[in-house]
Amino acid sequence: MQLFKYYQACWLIILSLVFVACEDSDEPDVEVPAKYANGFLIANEGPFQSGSGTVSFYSYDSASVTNEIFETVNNRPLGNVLQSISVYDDEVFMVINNAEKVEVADTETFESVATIEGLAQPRYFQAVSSDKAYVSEWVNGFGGQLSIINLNSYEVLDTITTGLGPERMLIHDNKLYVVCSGGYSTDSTVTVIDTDTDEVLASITVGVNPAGIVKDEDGFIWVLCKGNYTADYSGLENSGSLYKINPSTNAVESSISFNNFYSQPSDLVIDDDGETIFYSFNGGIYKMDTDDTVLPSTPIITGYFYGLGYDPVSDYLIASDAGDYTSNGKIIRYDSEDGTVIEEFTVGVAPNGGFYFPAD
Amino acid sequence: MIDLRVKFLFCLICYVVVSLKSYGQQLTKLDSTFLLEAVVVEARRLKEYDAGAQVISIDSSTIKTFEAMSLSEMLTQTMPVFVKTYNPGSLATTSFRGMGAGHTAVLWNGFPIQSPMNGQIDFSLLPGSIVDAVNLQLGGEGALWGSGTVGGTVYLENLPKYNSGLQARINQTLGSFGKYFQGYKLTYGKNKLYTSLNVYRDKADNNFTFNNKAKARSPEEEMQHAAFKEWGVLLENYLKISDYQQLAIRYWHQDTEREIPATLTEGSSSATQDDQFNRFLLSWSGNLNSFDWKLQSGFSLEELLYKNDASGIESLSKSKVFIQEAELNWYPLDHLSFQGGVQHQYVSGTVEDYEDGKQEQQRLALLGGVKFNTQFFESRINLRKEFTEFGNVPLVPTFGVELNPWNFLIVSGKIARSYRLPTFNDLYWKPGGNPDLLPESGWSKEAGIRSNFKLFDIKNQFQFTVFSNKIDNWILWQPGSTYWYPQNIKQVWARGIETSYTVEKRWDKTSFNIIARYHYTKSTNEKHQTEDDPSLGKQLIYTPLHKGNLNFTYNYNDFGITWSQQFTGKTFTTTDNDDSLPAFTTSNLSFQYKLDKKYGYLNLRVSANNLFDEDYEIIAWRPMPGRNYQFSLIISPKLNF
Repeated sequence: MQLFKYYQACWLIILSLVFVACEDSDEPDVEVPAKYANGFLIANEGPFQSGSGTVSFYSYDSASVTNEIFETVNNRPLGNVLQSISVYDDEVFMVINNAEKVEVADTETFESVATIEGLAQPRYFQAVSSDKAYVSEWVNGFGGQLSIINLNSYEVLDTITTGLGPERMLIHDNKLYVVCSGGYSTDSTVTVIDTDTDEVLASITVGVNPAGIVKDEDGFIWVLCKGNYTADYSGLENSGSLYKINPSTNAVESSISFNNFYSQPSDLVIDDDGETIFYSFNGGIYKMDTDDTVLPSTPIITGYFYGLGYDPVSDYLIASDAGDYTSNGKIIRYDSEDGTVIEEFTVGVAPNGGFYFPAD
Repeated sequence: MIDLRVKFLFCLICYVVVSLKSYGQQLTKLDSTFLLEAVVVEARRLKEYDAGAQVISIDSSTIKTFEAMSLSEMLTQTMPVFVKTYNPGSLATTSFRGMGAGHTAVLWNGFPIQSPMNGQIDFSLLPGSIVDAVNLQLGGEGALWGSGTVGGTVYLENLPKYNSGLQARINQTLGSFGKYFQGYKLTYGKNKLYTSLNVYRDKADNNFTFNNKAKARSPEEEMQHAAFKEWGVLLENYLKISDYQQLAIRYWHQDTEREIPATLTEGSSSATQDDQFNRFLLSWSGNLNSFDWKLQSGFSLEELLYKNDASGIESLSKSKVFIQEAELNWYPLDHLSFQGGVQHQYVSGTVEDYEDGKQEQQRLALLGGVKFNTQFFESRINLRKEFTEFGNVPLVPTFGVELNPWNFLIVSGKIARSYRLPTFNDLYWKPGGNPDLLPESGWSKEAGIRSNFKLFDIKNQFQFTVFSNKIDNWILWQPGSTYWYPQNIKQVWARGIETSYTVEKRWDKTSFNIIARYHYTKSTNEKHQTEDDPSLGKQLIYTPLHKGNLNFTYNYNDFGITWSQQFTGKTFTTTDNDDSLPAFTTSNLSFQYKLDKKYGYLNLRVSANNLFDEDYEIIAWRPMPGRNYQFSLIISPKLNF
């Protein structure tokens, strides 16, 4: 026993020397170019049922895509199904829905940092500070909560009950706005939470099935509601709608109905200036000025997509095409002005709208 | 030197030719013209109309070996067809000749038992202990058996043993991972009566250890939530009304409870599935003068309860199938026979996800056949026309021919149309289900040779088949903007070769046989779903190109040893064939000892499965167990009085 401890101590000393030596020798070198910096991240859900999600990286420098970066670096799959990606403080947070976890990796090397467990059908991740983040969760599909995450210990501290099926989140003025889609049920609210006290401040009623949320240049919050299907799925019971909320009063400033009982709008994004919003609807991608009071009548891009993103660095729209969901999908970069195709890349299986774009 | 070799070769050839000739005389294909005799054959359609078809029988001693296991294990270990097993004891479906899970029909004494709701059958739910004979027929045979017989058909039969006296058979099998099978069988056969009661119980925890490749450094973990429990009863009664008539009544009940394990890329699972069925079959068969007939009435009631506590899902689905069938054969001449038949099916499916919660269908099918055969030639034409309330089912013919030019050689060919009706889920599932779907249909062609000969006094059998099977209007569930929906959009072309070689030898006390089988199946997607569909021309997912197996059996007196080895080639997991699972080989070894005495027999069997501890997956991220063992004790006293 004594001998063992002695050996252990020796090894510790030797190891620490090695590490010190390594660090020393590393110092004078020119900084290693970060492999996964200067680009955006694409979330691929992975094959239906039994597969694993993957992350693709688009590099602005080489104008090319690298696939399966998490798997390549960490020699293990991410898990089933990758819902969304978020970045804060040099760390990437990948929300894995079915596996009920958030994988945390270093933004530059993509080496795994931690795994946040104990979540219930997590959807999106929103950091508040370097210490704290929220994860929206569907609980059993018919519930709704946010888990409060300690970003130092990567543990769930507490949960806050929200509307049903919470999805994307947005922070404005120390308040968190989370759209509550209803999950497998129905809801039509935006839950507002004080990010300091974690108290629910308000519940704003919007259209049925709110799924997208963005903030414009004037500080207004836009919420895209998809509407819901009738019980027999023959059409929509409630049409999709677009809501504009004044965050200082939490009142609905205006709302526009899509007045279509067949197709649901989805994938709301906003440009860098906060002046133009984009969304998918009825086989096209539409572009609308935030000052407009009526919906645009013609799309700038036609086609059905599984996800949409706006890249502030290039001012391009990125649409994801999931194909048959069991083969590699692709992303297509479009000019956000007129919808011209710039280029397309093959990515992983079932790329969705859970992109992460760096700020301009 | 060369001379010597040539001489030797010449001698060898001479020897082979002579042996072939002498042996061939005994091996001439038995004249299959049915002579009216005091034996009532039930499965006439299968046995009479097989010209040109590729039929593989699993012999009764092999069936006994798998008494404590399921048909999924029996097929996996003995046949080169691909069995898609999710986890041990979990869902297992088959791919015959490169086709999908819904393209294999399973007939229990002529009654189709695949689920009308999804068109599939779970081979894990078919215990090896309930059948006396298993035949596999590869390739389309829609004219004989109707919908779903696209890739192949599995025939399960129960057979009476008149005059076998009173017998009991007790099987106790213990295995790794909490496996415990108990089978109790009591049979009585005398003169005109045979009755059999078979009760079985099976359970396994399936808590095997595996290396979790979904985690860093692949730690060793124990399989969670994969247990299963099953019990069932099969009651058979056969009565010879006269020397030429038989009445058969069969009843089969089974109850299975299973935990559904998570894939390694998911977190955990709390899903369970309970399957229960009652199947009742009444048949009257007989012959008179140059006619024979069979009237059959079958009823099946199935229930499936899926529960998932984590997501609050509890879904109960029920289906009923009621089939009436009449078949008449006429043998006007020695070399000519005719067949006619009619089948009526009533099918219903109840699940809350269907339009109106319950759906019903009635189908009527007419079938006819003609067969002409001589000593050197056999040919048949079969036709079926099915009428349904939806879609138009084409007229389905089969043309089969066999030539027997020399005693040791049979050359065969077959062209058959086959079809599959859309399942209840395809038609009525809400949302997505489409009542306007057409039946899938296509043509399959095959040609082959079979050869039986003796070489150095050893029986040899060689078989080689090439096939091509094209299916159009293949129903595929496609992702829509909000939900998935089925469409008749896929076209699949499967083609390949199948070959086998059997060597068999029997002495006084010793016998051995070696069976080697190899299948090459290229099954590709022939139609693009989108403009630049990356899956066009690519191999279907979970359909291996190469599949082979080798079985070796040696018996000496009361002692037997069986060695089997299965090779499964690489399978693709994505439709663009970008991702795949590696090929794997598993081996099994078993010893058995049989003590046969006047008052009964005792059988001991020890087997090791996956002997070399191969680390493999059949479905991505669903691990399979490493080396595991089974020990069986079978006691069968003869209780004659």
